[in-house]
Amino acid sequence: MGFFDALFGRTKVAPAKVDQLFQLSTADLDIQTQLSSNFCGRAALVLRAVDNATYDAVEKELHDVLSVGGRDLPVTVESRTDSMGFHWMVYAGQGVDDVINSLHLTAELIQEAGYSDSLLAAVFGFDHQDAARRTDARWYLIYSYRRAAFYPFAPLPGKNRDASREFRIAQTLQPSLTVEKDSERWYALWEPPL
Amino acid sequence: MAKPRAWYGHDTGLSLRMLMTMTLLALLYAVFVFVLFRAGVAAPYLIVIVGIMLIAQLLFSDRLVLLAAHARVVNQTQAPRLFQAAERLAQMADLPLPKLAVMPTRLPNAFTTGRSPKTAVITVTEGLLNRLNDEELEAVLAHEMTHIKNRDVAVITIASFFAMVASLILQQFLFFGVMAENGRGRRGGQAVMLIWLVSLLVWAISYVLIRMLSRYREYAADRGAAILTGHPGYLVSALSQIERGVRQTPSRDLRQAESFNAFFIFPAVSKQSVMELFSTHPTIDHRIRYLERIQQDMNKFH
Repeated sequence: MGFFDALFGRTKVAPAKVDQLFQLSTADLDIQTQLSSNFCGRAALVLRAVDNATYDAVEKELHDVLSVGGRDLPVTVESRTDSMGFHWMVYAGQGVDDVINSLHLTAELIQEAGYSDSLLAAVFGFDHQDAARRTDARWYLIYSYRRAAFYPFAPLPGKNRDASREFRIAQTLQPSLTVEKDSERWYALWEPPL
Repeated sequence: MAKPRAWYGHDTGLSLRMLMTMTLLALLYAVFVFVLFRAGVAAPYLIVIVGIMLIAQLLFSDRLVLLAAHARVVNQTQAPRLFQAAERLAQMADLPLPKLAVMPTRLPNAFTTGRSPKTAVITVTEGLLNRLNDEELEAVLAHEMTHIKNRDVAVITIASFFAMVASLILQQFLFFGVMAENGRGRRGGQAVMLIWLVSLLVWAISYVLIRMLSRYREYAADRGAAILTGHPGYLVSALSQIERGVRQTPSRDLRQAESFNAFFIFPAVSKQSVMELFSTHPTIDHRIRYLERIQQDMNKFH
């Protein structure tokens, strides 16, 4: 938002930047080798719903497209609403590339329909390889559509975050991903339904 | 690539009305400064003094307001519900997360202080946290976030600059009068009279204009809340909850809160017959009608 937007009180939500999401596709190798973690097979798109009929139609169309397209892509989609009224489209598939592709397809369709500002974030779950011995095995990479950057989210029980682990993940992935520099913007997404 | 269109349009009318108000204020102030200089008052000094006051106000007023409101800055564990809603909105609006504070009052209300997004503090009352559900709380926070985005505290403070000069002259009238009487005799006395009258006029007109601007900024913040939450209805229901709460709360709380009116999402006045012209906020009815219009515009989007 520029100076005149502020002066005249014109609210604009910066359009979502969808393309950097593909960086994850190459970074996945680093995640496996350097962080000893594997894609857990589930990812989600977090959407802020808009209260009109067209938006509902867009979401319905998305489900149709994805469930038909799902025969080509080995990915299934289901939709959930969290306690804060945000919609989660949860994608399940073995290959991280397939999941990225269908998630990106959704984001593009939403953008074309004019609801670019509805895209809040994409969340990818990862599991540490010896998950059996660790309680904090699951961690997440969150892609912010506003900032076009990724950041780590490692929740601990009781709504705490493993800050040192997040820092290590961010440092490790820095060369292969655009990591959000301002760690104050590493907003949590508690209890992701992945 | 073509600029992606958005489901929310512009409110050109609102921007034009703001432009008109700000232009009128600028004109009024230009005339005022001209008169001050022509009359040969020690106006430059006056303006320097008020300039310092203005900067001080921009720098320190937020802390003073928070102190006076007995607001306590809270952290994640003290107010998890508040933080959760605020974090998602900050992420939506691409703002740094503002500091959050709670004011121990049963009156449901909220206000924002701070001249820039980095120094902003959103204060909500305990009454607001108790009375509103999650969606309504989100709408109120979105309204306050839009104030931060639009830098409303700075805009209104700067718009009030020459109004402050005028009111200072009005208050110092006796002092000025005595000085002129000793120094320059009767003609000096007439000049002082003229300056006083002009100041009175400038103060009165700017009072109405600043309040008009403030009401337009409120509409803009309501609009921003509708866009950020995607649901104009959330704010409609929050506003009616707050209004009901203000009517029900005992008047002792009301009087305490009354001096904070200009900052609040909803002014805590006990009299019902306040003329809208002289108030910092549009009436609830007007705000609800405006939000309904936004909802109707949204529904037309294909």
